[in-house]
Amino acid sequence: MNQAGPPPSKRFQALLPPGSEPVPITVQWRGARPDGDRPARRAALRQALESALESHPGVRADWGTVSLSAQSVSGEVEVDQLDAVIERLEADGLGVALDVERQLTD
Amino acid sequence: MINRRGNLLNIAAHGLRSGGEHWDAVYAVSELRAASEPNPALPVVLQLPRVTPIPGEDWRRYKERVGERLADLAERLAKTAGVGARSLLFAANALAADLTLDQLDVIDRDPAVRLEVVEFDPLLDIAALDGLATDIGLPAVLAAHPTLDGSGVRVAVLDSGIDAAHPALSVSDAVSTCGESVAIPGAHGTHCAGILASRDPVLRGVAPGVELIDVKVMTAAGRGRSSWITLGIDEATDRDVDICSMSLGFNHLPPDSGGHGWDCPDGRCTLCVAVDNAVTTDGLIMVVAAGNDHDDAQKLVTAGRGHEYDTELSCPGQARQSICVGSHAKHTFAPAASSSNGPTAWGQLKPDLVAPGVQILSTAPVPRDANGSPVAGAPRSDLFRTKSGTSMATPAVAGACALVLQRARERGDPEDAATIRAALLASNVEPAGGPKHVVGGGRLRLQP
Repeated sequence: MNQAGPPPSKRFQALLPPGSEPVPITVQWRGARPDGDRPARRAALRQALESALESHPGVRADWGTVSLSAQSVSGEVEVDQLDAVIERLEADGLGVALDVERQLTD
Repeated sequence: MINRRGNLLNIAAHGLRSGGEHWDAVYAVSELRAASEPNPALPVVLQLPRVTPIPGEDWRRYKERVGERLADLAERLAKTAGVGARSLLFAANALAADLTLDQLDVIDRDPAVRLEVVEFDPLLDIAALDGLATDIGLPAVLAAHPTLDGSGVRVAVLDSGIDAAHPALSVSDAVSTCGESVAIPGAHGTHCAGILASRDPVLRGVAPGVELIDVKVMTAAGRGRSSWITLGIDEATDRDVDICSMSLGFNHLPPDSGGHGWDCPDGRCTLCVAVDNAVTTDGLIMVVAAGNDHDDAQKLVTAGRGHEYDTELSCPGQARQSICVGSHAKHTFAPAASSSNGPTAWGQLKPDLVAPGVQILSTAPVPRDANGSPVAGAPRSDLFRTKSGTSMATPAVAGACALVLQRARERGDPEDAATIRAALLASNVEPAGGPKHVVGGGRLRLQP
């Protein structure tokens, strides 16, 4: 049985819809940009992200969402682990953003 | 006799002197300049006094009667000016020919010829997409380059979906990254697509000849995630597009003020990186809206909360490599009150330019019946709507980029993204009424 952890910090609470659990995030590779043609770059980027996320079991990455242009992958984090996971990801030099829906047009 | 030859000569001369924008002068002067010889022939229509149909006379008999008079005029034209008729216009009781101004003078002075009207007969390939087309100088460009329509250029509209059933839109490819079918069109995406590429004979887009690609990165209701947008940029790149038109963005205003709360102090967020990579690595031209948050940002400043955001510009509009577009009112060119001001969060001067974005008339999704099928024969009033914002200015600039790119290709000039961007911003922008952090380098104004 999961033990309920602390709620996300105020920084993220304002961005999360009520009851959102788990939380969708994007993790961005900020190391050197892979070289080669697009398939080669995509494969290299995925490998770099997989390696980087090996030490972050709290992130469930969806490997079908690797974005070559953004150098990112989408995933999920349990809401009670959000702050801790993001802190560790950023400490490892990865970019992190909440990937929640927003109203983009009037 | 109402003879407009003098008017034509006057306005042509005036246009040559001043570069004026009188419609007739624009067309006449552009044809005179485009000609290789010093006294070129201009297309004109010579109209005889009206011939009233006789009661009971059918079209064949009437045409024969008018034809005799037109044949006489054609014969006289050949004899005095040495020119043949291009065509006989029976219903108009007129004759079309290509005459130099000297030949026009000869036929006008011929006592045996009685002309009612002499009209310039330009090749028209433009109707005003609302006032936007004239504001950006499109009529003069098309008068000088009638075939310029963006042909051969692939443009992706990353938005809420384009209505492929709209009679004025031709969508060549479509993909969705937002989980909603491309069969569900968005009003926002359809409107932006029309500004760029409407093929309607009256409400024409800036570049109707482009290959229009629908990359649906938002739901029809206009909701989206950053990952849907960056995946959309990937999809556009995979489809070898030349230009992306992105009328969207995540603003930096705090969520409790209705903002998106997006965090990007250095241009390294996924949205900005995706745009920068698309330009520098894959050679795309990325045209992105600045955002419509100036008013809201100013309210925060007034409330003492100006420290809660770092820029009015949205991401990826503030990306270093984007062509960031603000909006201005039509005709007055005054910056729109809502158009987001620069600079970027790290102090780079943006937007890059402004374009018309207030009360722009463009395509709207075709009304659907209860089964979701497009209603056949919907009235035009249901097929076009007005919208405002930098979202509307953005596809106008994307269309302008398509025209610049098409011309570069036809001339064999360099066509890389940096060159096209530089050509647009250096040669197709005029000063606008505002400081650079509001209007960038100025307003979009295409040069013939």
